[in-house]
Amino acid sequence: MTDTNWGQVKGDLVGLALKRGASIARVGDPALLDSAPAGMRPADLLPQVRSMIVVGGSEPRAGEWASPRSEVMETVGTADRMTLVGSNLARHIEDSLGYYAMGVPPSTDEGNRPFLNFESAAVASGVGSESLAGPVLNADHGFMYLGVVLTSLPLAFDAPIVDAACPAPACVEMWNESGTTPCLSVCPIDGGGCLGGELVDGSFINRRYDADRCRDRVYHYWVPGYQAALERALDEPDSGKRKMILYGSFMTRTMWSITYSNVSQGQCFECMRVCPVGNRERELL
Amino acid sequence: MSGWEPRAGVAVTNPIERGEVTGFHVVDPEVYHKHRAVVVRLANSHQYNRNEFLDEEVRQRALSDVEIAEIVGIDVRDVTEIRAVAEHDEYPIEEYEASARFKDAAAASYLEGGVAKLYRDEKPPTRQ
Amino acid sequence: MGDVAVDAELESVTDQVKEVGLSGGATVVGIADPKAFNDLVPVGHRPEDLMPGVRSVVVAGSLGPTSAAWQSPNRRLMEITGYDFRENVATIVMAEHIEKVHGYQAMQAPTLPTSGQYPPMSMMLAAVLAGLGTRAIAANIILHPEFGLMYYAATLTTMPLLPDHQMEENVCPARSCTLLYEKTGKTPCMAVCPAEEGGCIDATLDDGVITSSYFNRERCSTRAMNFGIRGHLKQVQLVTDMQDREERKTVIHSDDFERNLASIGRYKESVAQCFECMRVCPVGRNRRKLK
Repeated sequence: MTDTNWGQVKGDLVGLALKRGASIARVGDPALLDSAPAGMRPADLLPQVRSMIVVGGSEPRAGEWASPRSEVMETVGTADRMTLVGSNLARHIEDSLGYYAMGVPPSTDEGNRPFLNFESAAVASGVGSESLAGPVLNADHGFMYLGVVLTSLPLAFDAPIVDAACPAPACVEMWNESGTTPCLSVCPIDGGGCLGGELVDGSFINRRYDADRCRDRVYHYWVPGYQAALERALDEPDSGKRKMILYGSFMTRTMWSITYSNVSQGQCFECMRVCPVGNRERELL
Repeated sequence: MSGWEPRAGVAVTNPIERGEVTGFHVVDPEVYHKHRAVVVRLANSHQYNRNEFLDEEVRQRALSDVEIAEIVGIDVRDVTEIRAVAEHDEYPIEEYEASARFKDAAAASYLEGGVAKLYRDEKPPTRQ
Repeated sequence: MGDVAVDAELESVTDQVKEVGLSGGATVVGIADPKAFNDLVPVGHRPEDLMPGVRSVVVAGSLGPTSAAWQSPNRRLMEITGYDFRENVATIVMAEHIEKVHGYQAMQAPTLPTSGQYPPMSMMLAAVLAGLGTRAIAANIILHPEFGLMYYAATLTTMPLLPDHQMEENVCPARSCTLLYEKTGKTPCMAVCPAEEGGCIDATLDDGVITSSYFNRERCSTRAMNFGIRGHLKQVQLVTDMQDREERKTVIHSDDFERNLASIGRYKESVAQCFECMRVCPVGRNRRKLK
């Protein structure tokens, strides 16, 4: 009986993920997420889990970042392609290798919670590192979409990144000169925005994040927007005014975004637009 | 810092400067009813002579909300809302039922006798 | 000699990009000059408004329902199989190819309506300007001379590519339609959905040439988007106006309410829900006759 070359297996799976469109694929230790709330740990989803494969990619195109029209990123910026890469990997693992595997759904469980914190999984596997703005950042690719596969395959783990991408040298320089960074400057929590924090010795501390306001921007014309407009309509006693709300452009727009959630769920990228991490990929002609 | 800048020599139209502001705005029903007919006429709900092969003096296009606002003399955000509401308001919910019946009749007509049947029946599928 | 070499290289690169689009799922690919839009659409809806420095608009088209779907005696089948968005995938594939291989900015042109029914940019006009079809009497649909009804998406890019040109001859009306019009005063699409009889379409022809046309988009929307966003909002308005709790419950739990929400959830497959003017259109119909 031959011993399985797990290194080869891992290499093949990473290669498959890259071939299917991921920019990066790493394997993380599921135990690193054991401090997550009950129900959101890898073993809560797959009791037999031994490793988690995290894929990142499908970054918005440079042309989209450069557009002065917010409607561009609002309607083509989101991508569920990494979800598809994850599903394909999971299917391949089960069909070809005979081990359990599942692509973790990116949508929400009850109580509007995710099934698993994808960003924590990305940090644990070394796909990227935490950022002051919030999204996990990869030093080369910057902001990416993520997919997570939980599997009973006993793959060797990649380690979390030691040298975090955030803050970038340019951001440290900006902080030293003017006491702010690009993301803090574009969306300051004390100025009606979502972000606050400080840089000390090349790290960010005292992070403040207004999740509710950020949600209302990211899901601007998505489900929360629909709920807000519907609430306003139901509160309106005048039938004629109710009609103006229900048939108006805001409500209509929320419906289009809901129908095309696969491309239009995420609708605010401003902290990432100004982020220098990975923006070399955007320096095109 | 990163962020876009207009390329040298490239004119970029700014939607905010044009008054095209997105977000939550509700038009007053009185304003809606007062200007609805002209906004609908100038927008894209009823499309006359759009074909690119028509002579230039015959061909028409819909006007943008900014163009309509300049003609009607009201705020462009109200124009947007009047247009958006009117798009939904042009037909009552009963039209959706009539549309389903039209499609039933049209598909059945073609299945039965092809295009020729359209010219034999007394009523078009829209009236069946 | 230098110009000839540059043109040959431009043509080669253009063909390469088109091939990427075809491999990515498009049935047809054409290139439009972004400046050609400027005389035809208002400020704010031009390619240059969406991408500063845009040099090319690469348009991808794909077929809608399969030939079998057209044969189905259950016309409601077409309401949920009409659209698979392959042309959208092709535009993303081309955008990424252009950025990764050629180093120019590229993006998928935004097509989702962002202001009522208005998208930021017209894909139909893009198809016309890229030489992929001409506007029909029927619903102003862009007809490809070989394939008939197609769906279109576009990639905007700062990459210079060799543009195609608008077609020189109108695909519509087809010869058989002209003959029918001369006999009866109506083409097949006008006969199936006449504007003056509760339908959406009207036109006049003179010696086989369109001299005027009319399309009632809002009535067409009640058909092409029979179940989905618009029906749902109508029902929400109805429900919010009802005082009686039992009446509200009847609407909320009705088949129509559920179908509207189901269509919203599956809109990717269900965005186009009326094909009757295209069913009777002869352009591309021969391709639908299979074994």
